Amino acid sequence: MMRSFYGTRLPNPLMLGTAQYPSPAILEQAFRASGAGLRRYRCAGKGRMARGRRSGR
Amino acid sequence: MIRELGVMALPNTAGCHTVKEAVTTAHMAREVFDTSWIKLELIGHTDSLQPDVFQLVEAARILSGDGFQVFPYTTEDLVVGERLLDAGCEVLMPWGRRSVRAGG
Repeated sequence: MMRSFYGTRLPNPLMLGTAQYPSPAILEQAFRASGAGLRRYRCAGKGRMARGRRSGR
Repeated sequence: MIRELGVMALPNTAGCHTVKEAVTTAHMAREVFDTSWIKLELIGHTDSLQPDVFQLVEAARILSGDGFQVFPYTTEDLVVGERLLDAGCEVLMPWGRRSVRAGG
């Protein structure tokens, strides 16, 4: 299922987050098994992030 | 390791509650990850994680003007969606739904 976002075509539009995996190895397995085309990274904001609050996904 | 998987990076502004926080975080993300893609998250309600749609539209307009390709985390509100498209977004990410591109 090819999708295009801002002119970039992706073979798979599935996005996976990169937080809270038990290990880097499991993170890698998840990406390979899913075939995800996008990885999401959380960039720390100020304030509530520093106090460890949840964020939207 | 992730780079070796050959997947695109989509940094996000998770945890940001103001336009200033989100715009600053987006600029930092662009430097760190070398991409102009940004998932814009501006939380208005901490418990429900509902986006602050008013600040979201403002931040989307600023970031689009700064050359970012914005993926806004938004609500299902159609008018807000239209405002985000007017602000320069080509993709909408309604909470609880799969992403929607402008034009279908």
